Amino acid sequence: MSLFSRPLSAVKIWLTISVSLTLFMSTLYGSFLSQGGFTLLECLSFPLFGLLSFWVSLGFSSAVLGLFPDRKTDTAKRYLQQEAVSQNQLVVRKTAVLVPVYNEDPCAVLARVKSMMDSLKAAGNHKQFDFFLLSDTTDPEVWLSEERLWYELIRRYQLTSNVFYRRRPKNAHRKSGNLADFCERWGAHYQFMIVLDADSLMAGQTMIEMVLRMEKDPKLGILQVPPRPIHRTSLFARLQQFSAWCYGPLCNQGFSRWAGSNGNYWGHNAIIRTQAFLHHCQLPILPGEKPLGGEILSHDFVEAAMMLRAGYHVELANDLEGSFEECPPTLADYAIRDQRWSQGNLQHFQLLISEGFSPFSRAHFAMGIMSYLCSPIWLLFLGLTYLNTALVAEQQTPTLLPVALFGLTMALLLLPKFFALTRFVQASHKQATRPSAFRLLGSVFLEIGSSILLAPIMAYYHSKFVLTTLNGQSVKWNCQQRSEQQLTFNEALEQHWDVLLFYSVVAVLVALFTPKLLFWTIPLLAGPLLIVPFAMLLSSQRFGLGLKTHQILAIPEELKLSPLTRIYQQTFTDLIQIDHQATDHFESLLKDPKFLSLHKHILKDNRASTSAPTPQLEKTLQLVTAKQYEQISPEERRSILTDLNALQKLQEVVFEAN
Amino acid sequence: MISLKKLNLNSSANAIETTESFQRRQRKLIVTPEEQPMSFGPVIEIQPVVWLRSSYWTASLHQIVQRLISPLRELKSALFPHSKEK
Repeated sequence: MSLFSRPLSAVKIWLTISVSLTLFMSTLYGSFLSQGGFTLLECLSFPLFGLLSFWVSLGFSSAVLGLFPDRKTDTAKRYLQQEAVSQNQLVVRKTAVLVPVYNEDPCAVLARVKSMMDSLKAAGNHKQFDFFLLSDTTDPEVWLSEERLWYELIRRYQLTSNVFYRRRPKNAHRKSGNLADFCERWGAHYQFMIVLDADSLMAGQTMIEMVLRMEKDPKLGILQVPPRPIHRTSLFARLQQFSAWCYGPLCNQGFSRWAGSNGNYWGHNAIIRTQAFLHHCQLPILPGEKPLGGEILSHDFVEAAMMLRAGYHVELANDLEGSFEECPPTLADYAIRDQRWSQGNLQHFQLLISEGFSPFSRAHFAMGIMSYLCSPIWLLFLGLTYLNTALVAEQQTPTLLPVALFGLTMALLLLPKFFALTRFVQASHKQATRPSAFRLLGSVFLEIGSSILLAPIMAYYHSKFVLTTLNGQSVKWNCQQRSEQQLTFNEALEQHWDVLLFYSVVAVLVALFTPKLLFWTIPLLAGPLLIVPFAMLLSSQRFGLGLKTHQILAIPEELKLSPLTRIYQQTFTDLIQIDHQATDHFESLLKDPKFLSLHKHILKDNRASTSAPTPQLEKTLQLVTAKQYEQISPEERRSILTDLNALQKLQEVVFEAN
Repeated sequence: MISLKKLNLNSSANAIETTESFQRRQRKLIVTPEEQPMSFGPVIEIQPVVWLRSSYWTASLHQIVQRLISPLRELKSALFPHSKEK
């Protein structure tokens, strides 16, 4: 499409469609309100409606852009021009693959590492990739497990790439500090670094292609490959996996179309030019107090903005596959993750209005903020509308305009899903591993139904997160829940009672004061009022797997096991057997001289040796002498594990006792 | 110092590997590569865009006032050329 030969054209089209739709919807809403004359509440609700319409229209028009084939964007053209010149001269440069971990399951993390290594070996360029397990783990049991399994991985599998293990004694600045520490110590060895998350999985061919693209374009600072969630079995996770697989490509293409070389970085499954990152991406401390000021929590958007500010490109490789992650297994886990992201995105407001950033970076910041802020705006808008109806309803004559507006809004929200489905069916009719069109359609309807039930629930949570953040409460950056388990009734009630209470009050108020709107409120109230059984159903692996056997919500990885997944599963099973041989890793360490020797070797190499406080050492010595290992607290274990002399003394005590 | 051989207690995870082979392997085990320290570039300053700063509006207001006053001043100096500025 010559229409999109310049990125600015795509931006203009994107904004023109969005603004036109907003104006049209606002005019309809305005004419509806003007029928009985404007009340104060209506005057207040009008700008909120305009803002919400603009937000919905932006998503819709981005999806419309994604419908057009990706042939003549600047990015694609540049690659095509460079292809002929440099294809034969290209070298896969030395690249670091970074796996930052924080109290994650070491079996799963290292199984993924092994799987990626094998995939690189199969693709033929494994020697150019060094893996770094960058541990910020604080749990002493997980820490020891990491060390043992890292060693076992190297010993058992005769690995062809290097896997290094580094643990920081103090996890300053969380993940961004973890990566910065790598850059400062070993960044000079590597031209590029592929940044992963603990649950990331990437195909070798994809990683090689990422390096080649960086090599082709010296101005490319960050290349993000969209990660797709896989490997989960709960209904909630399978809904996310399906929507990412089915709708993701259209959304990514639309985004890539308008953003072009001014794209964004999502924190993992991306390759970064190390030198440029070191020179230009030191994170600033935001002015003001926490939670909106201080240390930047969501560093990825900021790093992308700084890369663009320095004149580099940031792109989304939406044509590349083989990039995976795992998603939260339950609604509560999803909400917990969103709480962190919410505060991180709201912090970006200071950067949104700061000097020196490109308009595209400001758009990314604004959209990140709006993805959370739109929920309280939406609830406020609904509140004003219902209140106005309760107060002045008699004066208004019945009209079809609200129904038309509701229909139009739903169309803007749902049509992109059907665009994606149509495009998907057209594009993938030759693929063997995809569900039938009938099952796809069934899956889309199930996903839409679930989304309608979930929307008011997430609106409540997002509003709560925004308000608590603005109220000055900071979030705790805990390890993400990655294991799947079925919720009981009590657990579901304990996790979501506040949603149930809030919407129960709303239901009573609507029934009392605006009974004629009760029917229209059913879609809003159904999900929240049924949240306890709904959350239980969403967490159910049994139901998720039952649907999988009928290929409902199925993704290709579920229909055919890829080598990447097969090796991951095999290695995971092996490693978990090793890990489960010790119930208490600390006890195992003291009783096993080889393990202790390995731990000391790692400690010395990591230069992480410190002295444990004397009272802690004395208490631990007593407990070890009495063989009461379970009485040793995590803090005491952590202190002892960093003290070479203390470990020596404890080893002697164990030896004497035996 | 207790030798590893003397302390070779049962470890099921490493059962297959002998102490000697473990020691040999550990000597060769590279935990992390050699460091080559580098430091990050200068940190950017976070300052609101010009038109959001109060100093910008103060300066602009000052400019507007000056523009309004200067013709009056000229007029005054034309009318009263011998009057002294305070």
